[in-house]
Parts: sequence; C-alpha cells; structure tokens
Amino acid sequence: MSFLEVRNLTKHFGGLTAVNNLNFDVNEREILGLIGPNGAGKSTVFNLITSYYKPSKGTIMFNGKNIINLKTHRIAQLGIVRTFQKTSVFMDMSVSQNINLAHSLRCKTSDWEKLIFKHKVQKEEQEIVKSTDEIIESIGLSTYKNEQAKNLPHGLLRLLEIGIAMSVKPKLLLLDEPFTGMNPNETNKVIELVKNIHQKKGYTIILVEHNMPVVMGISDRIIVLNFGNKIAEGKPAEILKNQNVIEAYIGKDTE
Amino acid sequence: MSSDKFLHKDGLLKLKDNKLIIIIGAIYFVAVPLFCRNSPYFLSVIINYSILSCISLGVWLTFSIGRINIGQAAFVGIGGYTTAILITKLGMSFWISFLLSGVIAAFFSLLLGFVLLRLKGIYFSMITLTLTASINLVFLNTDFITQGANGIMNIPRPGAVNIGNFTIIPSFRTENYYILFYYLVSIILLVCFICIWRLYNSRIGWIFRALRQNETLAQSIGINIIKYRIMAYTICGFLGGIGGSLFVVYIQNIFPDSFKVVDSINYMLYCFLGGLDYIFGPILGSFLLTICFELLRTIQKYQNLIYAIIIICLMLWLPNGIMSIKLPKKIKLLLNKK
Repeated sequence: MSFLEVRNLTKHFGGLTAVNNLNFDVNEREILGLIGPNGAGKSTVFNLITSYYKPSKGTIMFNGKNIINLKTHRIAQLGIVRTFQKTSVFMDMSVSQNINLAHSLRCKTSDWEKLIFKHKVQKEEQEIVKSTDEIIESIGLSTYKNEQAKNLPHGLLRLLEIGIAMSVKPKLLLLDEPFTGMNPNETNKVIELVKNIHQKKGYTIILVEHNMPVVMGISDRIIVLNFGNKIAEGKPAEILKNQNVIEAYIGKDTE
Repeated sequence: MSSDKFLHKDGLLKLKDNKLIIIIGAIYFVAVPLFCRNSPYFLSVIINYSILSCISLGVWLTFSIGRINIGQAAFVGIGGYTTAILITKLGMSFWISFLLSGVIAAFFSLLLGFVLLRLKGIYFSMITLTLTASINLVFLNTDFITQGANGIMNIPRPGAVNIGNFTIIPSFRTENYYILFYYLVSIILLVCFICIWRLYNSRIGWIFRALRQNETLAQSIGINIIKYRIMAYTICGFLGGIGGSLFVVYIQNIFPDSFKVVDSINYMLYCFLGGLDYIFGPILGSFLLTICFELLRTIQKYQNLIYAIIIICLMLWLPNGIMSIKLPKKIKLLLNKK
C-alpha cells in the first residue's frame, strides 16, 4: 500500500471532463513531477486531492484512508498541504506573522486555553516563535522578517509560500507551479529550497511545473497528463523520449 | 505599524506604564459623575453611546473576519425582548435576564450563522439586511409572547443585588438611577472592550485576520474556517443581545420596531467612522456620532442633512476612519492597532 493511491479519479465540469480515470501512486519520500500542456488537468488533480473539488468518481487513499469526503482543513491536518498557482500569502501581514500564523494547525492548546492566556499558551507561543525563526532562516528570508508581504517581490513571495506550507509540518507537499515568473537566480534559490526540505525534512512532494529542465532535474519520477488522461509515467529520461509526450507538447508530424 | 513580537506581553496594558489610561479612567469614573450628576441629559448621551459601542464592537468583530454584517439590530431586538419578557412575564431579576439575553441572542446567531455564513461577500450582507426586517415581523406577529404591536412597556428598572446584609449593587429604582446606569454601562463597555481586545490579540484573533485576508489559504493550512466564522458571528450576536438588554431596561419599553434596519446601518457606520483597523474604532465612532447627533438637535430642521454631509465628508477624506489619523506611538500602542 503506497503513500498516496489515486484510483479511477474522474472530474466532470458539466460537459468538460477535466480528469479522466486517473490512476497513479505516490511513494513515500519521492519527488513526483506532474507535467502536461496547459489545461491537462494538473491543478484540478491538486484541487481534488485537497478537497477543493469533489471528484465525480474515484477514490484517493492517503495512508490507507479515503480522503475524498474530508474537508480541506481536515486533509491539511492529516498532512497534505498545497501551494497555489497564483501567489497566495497573507498580504497585510509581515513575513514572520505569516509563518507564525501557519503554525496554528499544530498548536496543542485548545481555543479556550488560548483565550484565557494560560501559562501553557505562553510556553507554546515561545516555541512557535523559535520554529518561525528556523523556518524563515531555511527559506532564506531572514532579512525580510518584518517586511509586509505585499512589499516583497514575486520571487520572495514564492519562497514565503513554501515556508507557510512547511510550518504546517506536512507529510505530502503539493507544489503548484512554484517556479512561474522567476528569473534564473530565483529559480535556483527555490530549487535549492525544495531539495533541502526534501532531504532534511523527508517530505514527499508532488510538483506541477512547466519549467522542463527544473522538473526533469528534481523529480524522481514523472507523470504526464494530457486532456485529463495519463499518457506516460516513468523516470525523467524515459519521459523525454516518450512519443506520446512529445506529441502532446509539440504535436504530431503531419506527413 | 504592526509590532515585531507576535504575542507581545507588554501589549497587555500594564497600568503603570500608561498614564493615559489613568486619565481616561479618572475622567470617566470620577470627573463625569461628579460634574454631571445633576444633568441627566449629558449622562443619557453617554449611556446611549456606551450601549451603542458594545453593540458596534460585535459588528466590528464580523468586519474583522471580512464580513459586512447589516443584521445586528436583529440580535439587539432578540436580547431586548428576552430581557423584557423574562422580567415582566417571569419576574426574573434583571441581572440574570441580562446574561440570558446575551446567551439566547448568541444561540440564535449560532443557528443562523451555520446557514448564513456559507454565503460570501455581498450575498451575505444582503441576507443580513433582510434579517433585521424579518425579526421585526416575527416580533410583531408572535403576540402571545411579545404582545405584538402593543410592545412591552413599564419595564421595571434593575433591582438591588444583596448577599446577606450587604448591598453589592444598589437598586436602580431610585432618583439617581442615571448615575447608576452610567456606571453600569461604562463598566460593561470596559469589560467588553477588554475581552474583545484579548480575543483579537490571541492566536484566534490572528486566525480572524487570516480569514479576512485570504480564506482559501487559511483553509489549506488547516484552519477550520467554518468554526471560526461562526465563533465571530456568535460573539457578535452575544454583544448585540446584551446591548438590547441594556437598552430595554434603560428606556423601559420595547416594540417590534425598536431596533430597525437603520439601526443596523448605524452600528456599521460607527465602525467605519472610528476606523475598522482599530478595536477602539467602534467606540470612538459611536461617541462622535452620538455627540454630533445631539449637538445638531438645536438645528432640528437640518439635523439629518448635516449628519449625512459629515458622514460623506468623512468617507471622502478619512476612509479609514478617524483612528487612521497619525497618532503618537504611545497612544497607538494603548489603543491597539489591528
């Protein structure tokens, strides 16, 4: 039984089939690349895994438990966290406030205790502050600790997003196009970060991305989607040579 | 600007550090009663704005989770009728009815919240707008409890609270009930302010900020947005309920339309005027608009016109409310920016 099992996953939006009978497994501690042309259904798969959409058919088993009927925040509690295609942070808060807030899920004190400011709460808050500093350090935003998120450039916001996801202590991290809109320098920073958290924290990562060199470089395995169907699966080197994949991206020779 | 420390202990108002608090406290609890004890008019203005502040604090809380709540008058009405009925029909003391009013109003906002809070943005606001009008009709048509259009009148003022031979709270049924009401509502306002302040500075308060700024992200990092939305709405209802209870024993009557849609809108206005970014905002807003309203009484004919012009001007030039005027840092820390 693997870490994440997707079986017969299907999603219809009226007449449009976004995801069609998708079957794949994710092994623990691997980096799985999910690629495909625009409109292939990659972000839809993420939305289905994290319950932003309910599947029309199929099951998703995480550690043996079917998660399609759970609410999004419950799924985050179980350990699946995603980032978004469109940069999603809390704009009106500083970097450290963003990360600190993201620790809320893993708080052991109850709401009532938080209201009465018991001693337990203060101790936990101190630990959270420490953890916040560590995470900010690891994403490399220490100099911007107190900067409002809305003042940060796009590349740093992407790093912050990953930092927020890390604060939730996920087991499975879904990265939705983390490299969009980045120059080579920023791209390298994020590659380093992803490799770092993969090795040090032992996350399992599913990565949706259009930047081919990056995806081929980082991923252990790759799955290719086209129009909602899985058209190829395998190691990066195999995928590059796969005829179906080349057709999907570039097209068929008409001769 | 927001401070460095996330949960700053020094934000918890150390009395010795803040002369301002002592000054305000002195004015409020000593000077005003002393100088105004023979002019019920001034006291009544302050009593009025204090109760309005409590109610507006509730509306402010729903603003803080990013919702525009135009239905608070419904819960003020529920609280008011609860107190009126418990006192006149069941002979309960005010003090118990007061708490029960808050609880029952909170209960209804909990029930309604489950349903209404699913709606987003403007649809939520539209529904809350109809909520007030609907509740007025409910009160009108349930004459077996609420006496319908006749309303409930001659509601007795609060009695004394005695433990053994000691009078903890003197009876309000005497000549100087204005002073007593003044102290009562001021203390209640203070307690409400401190409670909301503590709530908003706790991790739960930060979760509220998260809900306001980016609900989808909050959900994806494991925050149960439904729970916290309902929490904010329920507390809002509670504050409305106790406000209604206070109004009812102060004015000593209640009718189905005592608390109408225009009142709901006023509670929102107080928040806007004072400043949505500050917990002190609704208190300042209701204070200024109430004073303003009273001062304009002399120009009866033009009262509403000038009132409206003032509000429009403020919306044009001070869209973030009066509290957004640059204050020296010390005052800012006291009054706690959002």
